[in-house]
Parts: sequence; C-alpha cells; structure tokens
Amino acid sequence: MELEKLVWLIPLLPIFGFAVNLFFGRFLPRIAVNVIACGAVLGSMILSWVAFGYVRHHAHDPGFEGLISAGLPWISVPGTESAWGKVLAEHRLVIDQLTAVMILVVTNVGFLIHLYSTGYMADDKRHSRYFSYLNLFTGFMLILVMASNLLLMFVGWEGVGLCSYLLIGFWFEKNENAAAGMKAFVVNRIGDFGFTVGVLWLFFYLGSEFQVWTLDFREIGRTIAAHHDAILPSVMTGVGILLFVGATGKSAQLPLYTWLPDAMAGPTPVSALIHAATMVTAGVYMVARMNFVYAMSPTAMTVVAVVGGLTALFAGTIGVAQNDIKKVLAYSTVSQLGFMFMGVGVGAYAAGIFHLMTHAFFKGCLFLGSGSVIHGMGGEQDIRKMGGLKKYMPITFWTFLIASLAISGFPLLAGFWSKDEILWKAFDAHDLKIPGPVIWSMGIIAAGFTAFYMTRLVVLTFFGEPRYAKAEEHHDAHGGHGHGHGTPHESPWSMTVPLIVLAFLSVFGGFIGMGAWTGLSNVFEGWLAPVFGGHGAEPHKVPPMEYVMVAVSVIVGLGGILLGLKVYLWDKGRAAEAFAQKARPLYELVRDKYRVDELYNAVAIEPLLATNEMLGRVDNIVVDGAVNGAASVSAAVSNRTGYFDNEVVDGLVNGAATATQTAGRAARRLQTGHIRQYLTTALIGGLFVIAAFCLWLNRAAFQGFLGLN
Amino acid sequence: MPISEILLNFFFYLFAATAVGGGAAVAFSRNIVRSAFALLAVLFSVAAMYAFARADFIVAAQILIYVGGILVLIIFAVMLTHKITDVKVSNESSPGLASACACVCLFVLLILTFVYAHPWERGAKPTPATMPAAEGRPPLAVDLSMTQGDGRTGAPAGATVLDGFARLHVATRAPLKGVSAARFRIQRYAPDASKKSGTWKEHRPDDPKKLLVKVADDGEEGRSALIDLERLPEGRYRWGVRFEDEAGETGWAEFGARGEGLEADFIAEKGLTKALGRAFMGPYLLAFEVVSVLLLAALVGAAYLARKEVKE
Amino acid sequence: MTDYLFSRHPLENFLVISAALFVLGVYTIITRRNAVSILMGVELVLNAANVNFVAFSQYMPGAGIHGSMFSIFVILLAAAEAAVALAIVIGIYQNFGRVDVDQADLMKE
Repeated sequence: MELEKLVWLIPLLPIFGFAVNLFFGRFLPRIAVNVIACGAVLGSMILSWVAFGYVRHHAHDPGFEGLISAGLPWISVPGTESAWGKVLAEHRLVIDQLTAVMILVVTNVGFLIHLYSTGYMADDKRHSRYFSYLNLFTGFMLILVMASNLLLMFVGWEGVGLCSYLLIGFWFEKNENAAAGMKAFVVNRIGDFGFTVGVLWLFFYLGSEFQVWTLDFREIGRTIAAHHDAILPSVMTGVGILLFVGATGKSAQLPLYTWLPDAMAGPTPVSALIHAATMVTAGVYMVARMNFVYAMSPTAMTVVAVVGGLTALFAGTIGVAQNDIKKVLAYSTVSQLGFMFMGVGVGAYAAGIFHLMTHAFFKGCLFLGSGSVIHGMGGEQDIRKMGGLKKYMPITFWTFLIASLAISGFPLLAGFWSKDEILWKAFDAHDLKIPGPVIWSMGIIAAGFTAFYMTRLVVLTFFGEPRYAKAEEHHDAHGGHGHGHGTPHESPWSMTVPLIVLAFLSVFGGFIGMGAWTGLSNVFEGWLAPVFGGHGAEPHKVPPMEYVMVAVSVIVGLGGILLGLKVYLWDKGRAAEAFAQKARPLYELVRDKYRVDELYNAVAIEPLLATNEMLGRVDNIVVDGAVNGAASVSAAVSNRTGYFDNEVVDGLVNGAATATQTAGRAARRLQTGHIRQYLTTALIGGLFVIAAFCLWLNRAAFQGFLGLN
Repeated sequence: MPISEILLNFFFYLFAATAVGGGAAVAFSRNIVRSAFALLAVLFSVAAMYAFARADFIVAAQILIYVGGILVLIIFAVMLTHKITDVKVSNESSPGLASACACVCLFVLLILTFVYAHPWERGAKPTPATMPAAEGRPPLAVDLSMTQGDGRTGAPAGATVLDGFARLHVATRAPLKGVSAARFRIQRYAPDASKKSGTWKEHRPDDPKKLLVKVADDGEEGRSALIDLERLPEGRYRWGVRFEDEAGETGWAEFGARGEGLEADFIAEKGLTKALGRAFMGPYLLAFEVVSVLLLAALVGAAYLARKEVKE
Repeated sequence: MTDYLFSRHPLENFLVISAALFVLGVYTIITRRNAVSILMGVELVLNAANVNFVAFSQYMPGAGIHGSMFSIFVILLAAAEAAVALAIVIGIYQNFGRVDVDQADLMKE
C-alpha cells in the first residue's frame, strides 16, 4: 500500500484503539488494554518516523508540499461552477516539514506518556476508559496537525477539546473535577467562537475578492501570495486577531487561560500530555500554519507577541506563590506558552515551534515527575508537605532536576537554545507596531521568574527535611490510590523509563536548533524554512547584539536559579516568609492568582447566572401561565364544544327521529282505507304518466300545434 | 251521397250518441238500477260500433258475453246488495272537483294526442319494382301499391284484405310516352291434395276485362293505373302488372319477392270469424287454453266467495 | 270507387267515442260509492279499450288480426273478473250489510 494511504493510519490507529478499549476494554485484562493503547500509539509513532523519513527524502524536490495522503472530497457545492464548484474542504492529510515535527512530538511524547499511564493508572477502576480517551485524544491531535484544511483542523481542534474535557473530569466523583472539565471546555469554546469567525471571514474575503473559495492551507497561502498587493491589511489583521482569539482559548493565554490551572484536577499523565506537550500547543501550531496571514499584518503579529509576552510574565509571577506542585507547573506551562506565542508573534515561527518541541520534552518530564512524586507520596500534592524526597526517589529527582534546569534556560540544555532563539528574535523584531525590545523585556523577566520558581519547586520538593509527618492521614487527592504509606517510594519502571527518556531529550534535544550565533547551522530552522517561506538560517552575519542577548539571558537564568537556591535552600525560605508577611496583601493577591477567576466570576458568571435565574423565573411564569391558561381555555372551549355537540348532535339525531315520526304520521294519513281515494290518486298519477307518454309521443306535433316551433 | 251512406252515417252517430249518453247515465245517475240499464244501452251501442267497423264476430261476442253474461250478473248483484225494503235504491256518488278536473284533463289529453296530434297513417306505401326489358323496351321502374277496398287503408305485403276487397295500383315515377294500357295478372295459390306444395294458378275474376285498364296520365307525376278487386275467393294471391301499347308489352313487374316458399302478396279472407278462428288455432292457442282455465278458476272462486254462510 | 258496404268513417270517430267512454268509466270508478257501480265503471273502461283495439285492428294496415284477438280476450277476462268481483261484493254485503266503499275502512291505519 502506498504511503499516501498509510498516512491515514497515523491518526486512525489511536482511534481504533479508542474504539476497542471503549467497547471491549471492560472485558479485557488490564495488560491487554495497556498493550492495545500503547501499541496503537506506537504504531502511529513508527509510521510518523516513516513519514518523516519520506519528507526528509523529498524535502528539496521542486514544488514539494509534503506527503499528501489520499483524500475524499468533503464539502463541495455541485452544480454551481461559477464560484462554488470546487471542493471546499477535503478529508485529506498532508505531512510537510512542520507537520512532521508535530506528529513526531505528539506520537513520541504521547507514547511515553501512554507507557507512564500504564503504571500511574494501574489501580484505577475505569482503567480502560482512561486509555480509550487517551487514544482518542492522540488521534484527534494527529488529525489537527495533519489536516490539510482549516475545517479538518477544526475537527481535530474540537476533538482535543472534547477529550480534554473528558480527561480532566475523569474522576468526576468529586464535583470540582467535573467542574474543572466543564470550565476547560467552556473557556475553550469562547475562544473557538473567535476562531470560527476568523475562518469564515477569511474564507469569504478570499472568495469574494479573488474568487478563490477554499479552506485549504496551501491554497490560501498561494492565493495570498499571488494577490499580495491587493489584499487589505485590515482584513488580515482582523482575521489574524480572531484566529488568535481561538488560540488564546486553546493555548491558555490571557485572558482565557483560567482553565489550565483548574485542569490539574485530571490525572497527571493527562496534564503532561494534554496540557503541557500537545493540546495547548495547538494554538501555536495554528498560528505557525497560518503564517501567511500574519505575515500580511504587523498589527496582528504585534497582538500575538504582546499577549504572549504579557501572559508569560503574568503567569510567571503567579507561579512563584503556588504551593501545589501541579499548579506551579500549570502556570509554568501558561508562561511557556506565552513564550511560544512571543516567538511566532515576532515572526520567528521556527523558533516558536522549536520551543514547543523542547517544552514538550521538559514540561512533559516535569509533569510526569510530579506525578511520580504524587504517586510516591500517596496522593500528596502540596509541596509544603514534601521535602527531602531526593533520597527516596532518585530517578524522579534527577530527571526532575534536569528538566527544571532545562526550563530555566541552563546553558546547553534544550530550553536554553529554544528560549534564547525566541528572546533574540523578539529583541530583533522590527516589523511590529511596538519595538522588539519591549517584548523582549517581558520575556526576559518571565524567564527570570521561571528560573526562580522552578528552583523553588525543586528545593521544596526534594531538598530539605521531610515535612510530611502528617502525610499518611491525608487521603489521596487524586483518587485511585489506596495505600496510605509511611515512606515515599520510587515509582515503577513504567513510570520512570519515560522520565529518563524525556530527561535525555531535554538535555540533547536542543542541539538541532542551535542558534546561528554558534556558527553552526540551525538544522531545525532550516528544516522548517520551506514551510515558512523563508530561507534556511544559513550562518549569516551575526550582529553583536545577539551575543549580548545570549549573555543576558544566561545571566538572568542563572541568577534566577541562584536566587531560588538562596531563598529556599540555604535560607530555608525564611526570607520568603518574611517577604510574604510584610507584603501580605501583595502576596495573597499573587497567591490567589490575582483573583482573576473571582473577577471573571463576578463580572461574567454571576450576572449570567442571575440572568439565567431571572429568565428562568420569567419563563416559569410565562410558560406556566401560558400552559395553565391554555389548559383552562381548552377546558372552557371543550365545555362549550361539548355543550354544542350535545345540543346540536343530539338535536340532529332526535330531530331526525322526530322528523321521521312526523313524516310517518303524515304519510299514514294517506292510508285512509278509502278505496275511492286510492283510485283517485292512482288515476291522477296515471294521468301524469299518460300525459308524459302522449307528450313524448307527439312532441313534434304538439310543438307545432302550440306554435312553439 | 247515396241514401245508403246517409243512413249509415245517421245510424253510426245515433249509436255513438247512445253509447256516450249511456255512459253518462252510468256515471251520473242517482239510481243504480238506471245505471245498470244504461250500461245495457252502452253495451249494445258498442256492439253496433263493432259492426260499423266490420268486426262481425266481435259484435256477436260482445252481445253474448257482455250483455248476456256480465250485465245480467251486475243486475243480480244490484238486486242482491240492497235490502228488499228499499224503495228507492240509491246510488250515491261523491263528486269531487279533483276527479272531475282529472277526467276532463284526461279526455282532452287523449283527444289531443290520439286524434289531432298523431296522424294515423293509413295510406299505402308504394313498393318499388322493375318491369324488365322486353322486345326492345328498356327496363322500367314503377311503384306498386295495394290498398284495402276502401282505398284508404294500405295493405302491406302479406296483408289480409278483408272480404276480398283489394285495390291494386301501379304508378310510374316519371312521365312516360307510348303507354296506353296496363294489364294486371292475378295468381291464386292452389294447394294440391297432398298438401305438400301447391301451384300458383292464374285467377280470372268474373269479368276478365277488369284486368286490363287504361293508364291514366297524372301529368308530371307520371302514369298510373289501378284496378279494384271485389269478393275475391279466399286464398293467397300474387299479382303483377305490365304496360301494353301498340308497340308491344313491357315485362311483368311483380309486387312481392318471389321465391320457392309460400309468399303471398295478400290474403283474401271472407270475414273476421275465419281469421280469428285461424288465429285461435294458430298463434293464440296457448292463450286460448289458459283463458279457459282461468274462466274455470273464476267460476269456482266466485261460487265459493258468494256462497251464503250457514249461520248457526 | 266501388260501391260497397265498407264503412268510410275515419278512424278518429272511433277514437273519440272510445276516449269518451273511457273517461266516463274512469269518472264512475272514482266517484261512485256503491261497489257495484264501480264495477260498472270498470266495464265501461274495458269496453272503451275494446273499441279502440278493434278500430285499430280494422283500420290500420299493419295491425292485422291481433287487435281483434286482443279484444276477444278482453271480453273473456272481463267476464271472469266481473264474476269474481261481484262475488266479493256480495260477500261483503253479506258480512257488513252494506256496499258503500266509503264505509269499508276496516283497513284504515
């Protein structure tokens, strides 16, 4: 079978695994479920590498647009050749360089997380359901990144949103978990509205102006390129911003990020996969994919970059004051996503995607590590109740440490390269509406915060004296686990192996995207260059500023780490405590995530609910009133009708009987018994007959006789 | 008019008046006995009507049965349904306007319809025939017709002419020259003794010259000739005609179709009685027998119905 | 025309007489109260019909003998009918003592 058809297997294998586990998983032993789920993703992973190989082989063929799968027309409007007689959207997957990167990330990291889940969710009572959801998510995510057109991508977009909801609220026995799932879905939806409007606007604009009715990425790109000068920048700005609104929802940027911290209510592997490595990155992917739109609109790009920067900064500050290990990582994710948007916002699409990839490595590792900690702690998630775990969970500790160093931008680790690239490109951006350095400054401060709070996290979790004396009484907050145990323990191999792999990638995965200042070619950027219409990042003349930037970011990163160490490790957090006491309001504000949720609640949710309530009452009154009124009206009508029916119908029937009687009585009088009368009547009757006969016989003659002719 | 005619008319109208007047007496008389005897007058007058219509047998039947049977019965009934002590046997009637009007209407209707509006065609329908060519004369188309003796009642082929009075008539359709006389030929069927078949023999009337008549000139309507036959002996007859003149004769034109069977152009009967008798023994045989049974039943029934109940 | 004793009265004379007799008979039937009178009316009607039949039979060329035959049968049947009817009348008289048809209303509803 040709590769074109095999491409479809990449998303379909996980979906098939979903179906099998959904319907039959209940009856299969756990090991079988594990094998099916992981095997499906493994299959996709292998096929992804094959596809990658193919793309790499053909990358420099002229006019190569990617590995195009076999497709089916999806929406076409037949019979109207004029403008609509085209296939508007197809079921088709295309793997170009960008998509290849994405599917590799999704399938590889996804496979590791599936493997991890076999250990983490081993005792869960809805084991097979979990894996079916996880597979479904993987399938949808693959569709999202492999889609050839906006509509199919949107299918994946919504699909991952659905799976996110299902998986966040997986332990729905606790209300707050279900609520978190709902929140994630609803906030996502708000973003999707913007996305949809943007898509439609673009579609109609291109169609009405240039008679190109299409949703296909490449066709849109070609059209925009062909009519480069005729396109209204304002339209592109509007479209760009609207699409970015969707990305805001999906990728948890300001102001639609509030669902992500709450989403930590789901199982930790879910957080790792969906909310660190893959789903939240869909927004970044989308912006990168629609680069031709953003390239036409500096305003939109500015918006993207600014929002990204602000989010990075904002979330970074919150992360400092969080005490739940997963919440820290959640805000860290939001912040890093902001970095990614900063990257694509300033036009450094390759850098943004690169950071996406490295972030998948180290954030995935961090989340899985936190899951391992939680697992080992019997469900404890508050880092104030941890400490000194490094001797009980060495593998977890070392992998966690490596990953947090990577995220902090420790030189030569993966995060260093990707963050650096973004920061430099941000600084160097000159097509935006605001100067690049402004954005850069947001980023650098956020990077500093990142380093600080990650160090805090590591220190509080793994170093110092154990603070979990009361840990055994604490029932697991994440369910599934039943063992209150005294000593934290290392996790099984199914959980530690992925940690090791991801840590490895966190160290060595960055080398393919080394910045140009090293003098080596940026393989990653070169790989993605055909997609973004740019040329490979050949070693160009490196401005000195770049070196300065690199140095600054290194200093900031290391400085953050050192500060964190000082405050929390050497000082045992006393300075932090004092600071928190002195600036209690500020501290509490930050700890309470700036009370954004409360703000949203008060501004949007409460009025909405009040309106609901009021409308409900109105509806009740009106509807009930209407129904009751209708009931009484119909009762009255039926009463009248019944009365009428009685009178008229009975009257008719009785009247018929009476009429018959009367007629009979009248007719009876004919029977007088008088023979002569009978004879007379007979005669007169016979007379008529005879008359008729005579007249008929002589009609002509009579007419002549009477002169009628 | 000859005296016989006047007398005939007088008596006809006399008997007609008697009939109608008697009927009025039956209808309007207050005395039932008078009604009964008026009925007698009516019946007799009707018999006279039959005589004027030359239905001799029916005259006799009428008098015998109606007068001698039915009327007697009625008078018996009249007598038997009144008390002996009734001096004036009354016959009440309840005249009503409705009935009077109805009757008047009926009369008018009948008269209008059957007397005025509908002319009863009695005339003779001409039958086309051809005189074949002979002796250098071309064929000649003529119309032949037959009437009863009075000249007004036509007789179709196979009709029974009463009392043997028949008139035979021939007419050409167009004016014709060179024709002066017409000769008629009558043939009478004579069955032979074995009754299997017979032959047509020529019949000569008493005055043979009667068969040769002059041809009348009708001007534009052509030439015509006729003869009257009287008192023909009973039997079946056929006839034909031809024209004769100095130059020669035409062929014979036959009135009816000729075939091997017994097709008579007309049948001469002596009187109605024979005809009726022949019919009774022919087509009406079944009816005759049934009526006799019916009369028997009527007899028995009447006898039973009218018997006097034996009162205990 | 030859001189013979054939009636030269037109057919219509007979028809008029027959119509008059018929109407008088009908009037008798519907007017009289005595049952026997009614029967006399019936006889009038029958006779009128007979006159008609015979007249047509003698006068119309196509009628043939059938009219006269029919009138013979009419006479016969009139006889039978008169016998039976009068027997009934006498029976009524014997039972009820009177033959007034207006008073014979036992079948009245």
